[in-house]
Amino acid sequence: MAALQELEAAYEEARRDPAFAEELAAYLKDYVARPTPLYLARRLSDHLGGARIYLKREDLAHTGAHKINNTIGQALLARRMGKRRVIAETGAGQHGVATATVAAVFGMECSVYMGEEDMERQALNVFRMRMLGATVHPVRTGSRTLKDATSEAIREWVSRVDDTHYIIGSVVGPHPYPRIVRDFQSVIGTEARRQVLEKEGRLPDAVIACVGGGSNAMGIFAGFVADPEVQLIGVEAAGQGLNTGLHAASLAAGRPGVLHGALSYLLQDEEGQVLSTHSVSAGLDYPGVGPEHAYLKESGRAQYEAVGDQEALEAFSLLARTEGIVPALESAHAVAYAVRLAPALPRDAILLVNLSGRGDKDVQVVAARAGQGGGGQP
Amino acid sequence: MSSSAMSPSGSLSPSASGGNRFDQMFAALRREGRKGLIVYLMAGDPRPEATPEIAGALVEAGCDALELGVPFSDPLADGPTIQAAGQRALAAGTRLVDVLRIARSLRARFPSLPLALMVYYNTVLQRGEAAFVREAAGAGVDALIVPDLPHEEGTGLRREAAACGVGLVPLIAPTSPIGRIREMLGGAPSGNGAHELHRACGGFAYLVSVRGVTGARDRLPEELPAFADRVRREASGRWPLAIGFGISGPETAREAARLADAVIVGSALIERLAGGAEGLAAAVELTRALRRAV
Repeated sequence: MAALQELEAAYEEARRDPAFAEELAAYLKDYVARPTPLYLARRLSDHLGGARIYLKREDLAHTGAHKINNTIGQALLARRMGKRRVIAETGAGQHGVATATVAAVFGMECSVYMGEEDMERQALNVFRMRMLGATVHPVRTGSRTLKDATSEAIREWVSRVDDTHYIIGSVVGPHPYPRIVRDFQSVIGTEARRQVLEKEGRLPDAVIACVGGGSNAMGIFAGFVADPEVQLIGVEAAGQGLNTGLHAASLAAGRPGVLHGALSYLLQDEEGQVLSTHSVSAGLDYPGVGPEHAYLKESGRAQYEAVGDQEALEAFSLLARTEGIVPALESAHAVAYAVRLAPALPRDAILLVNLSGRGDKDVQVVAARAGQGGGGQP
Repeated sequence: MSSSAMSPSGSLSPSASGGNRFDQMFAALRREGRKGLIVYLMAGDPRPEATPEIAGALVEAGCDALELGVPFSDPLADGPTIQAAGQRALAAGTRLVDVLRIARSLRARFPSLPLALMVYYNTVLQRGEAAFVREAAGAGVDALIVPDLPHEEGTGLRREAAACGVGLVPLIAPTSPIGRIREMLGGAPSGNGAHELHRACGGFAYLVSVRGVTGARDRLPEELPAFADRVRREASGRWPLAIGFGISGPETAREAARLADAVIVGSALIERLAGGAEGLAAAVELTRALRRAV
């Protein structure tokens, strides 16, 4: 608790410091390569014959996903707090890579906790983290995925609070993390709103983003939450189907519960044991969800849908072939929902999809599912 | 609220002679001029049916009180030993009803043994705070330890627990600032009523010896005596203190016992128990050694 209070105080102080904002803005521009483009997916939209689909290209941010918006901010905060080491949990590996990346930039030690199952399916990112100088710790307990990596990172943090800052990768965990992460990710929404107004002279009809822990969604939603005419749609992983128990749709199928220091929707059994989740995409494979998403759902401001593995894989392919963009499997869930919605909407409707990351890390999994190279070839 | 609130069920309620069993234990320890040994076991490890026998053997080997861990899928405060114990218990199908059954059977066998449940908050939340406390009290439990429930979030549970004569044990970390320690031990000027009630229902303050999670350590941190001092000053005699986490054997137990009223040992015993056929005998032997050291 003391560490959380220290973090909150440091964050409040940093937030009010123009020098902090300036330094952050400089890194976002010169290092992360912001602003990321807002791209009209003309060929995809024409193929679907309905609404026009814009893609917010977080896949073009340095390291290939939105995660770095948060890790840069938290690393600056960590340095300000005098911490010389950062740790992180990671599912798909993007947050781990983004943490290892900023640790390299700021000369900090870095340890990343990753479920053993995730290490197997996202091997490219494990390699990247090690190349960047981080130590990757396999987590072998529980379901060996993101939730277990998060638990282990928390355990590590409580024993090293003095010199270590825990960079949580999503809008989950104990206060003040959900707020800090959302604030750092809100650059996505701020930019997207400005960009769509520049290009179209009006706001989109809906903003669509995939939801695992919920950081890319909170980031883009933040830009539009005060515009009630803009629908906010979060897309969770339905895995093999919501009725199979093999999914990760916390908002659709969960109940309020406490995991990792936050009360939010949680996939759990009747006694509160946290369930193992499943999604073809490691980054969505988390039984909880950020508390702010729970709030948006309950207040009716945002709606939450679910897309299964197969539909996400199809959207992955479709985007690659129609626009030459290979999305992360996580982001493919958001694309898939746009693919569902667009055809029935008029041509002048606008759907804004957050393309939270690129899919190089996923090619092995996709190839294996397509039945090619299933023998463990690269 | 009257401080004589007792739980409704007869022989399972806090001891008829008044006060919680933890209160009585600490009073007896003071009278006898000795320190307490509290033992932690994971309920249901390796099977729910095995726990009463294991616990019984350790009680007879000399421990003054028992903590039963309620297995949880994501035990944030626990290191590998207790994590593994929890996984074994869950794999054996242990559910809350089994834990309560174990508590009830221990209560029947050891009527004055102080018994606590160590439980993660989600388990309590899903049952409902009032229902959970009522069922625990009904099974003969005297105190609850909820490691992931911050003090400020515990007002409701403290009230429910107090109404049933069950204590909610405050966990104090070495990183807790003085102000926080003061709040947790009821030293602050406001809210004294609630704290009086809490204290009247017994329990103790649990000093977490290490910055970290459960698990036997070779040595206790150098800062431990200063930390224990800080807490004792704030407790000013109103709270018995127990030190737990990291106590690995007679040496560390002796050292910790000098600084508090009781020591709590968990992982070191669980490691012995998990060590095969001779596990129980080894754990009993360790308990006896701890008893002598403390």
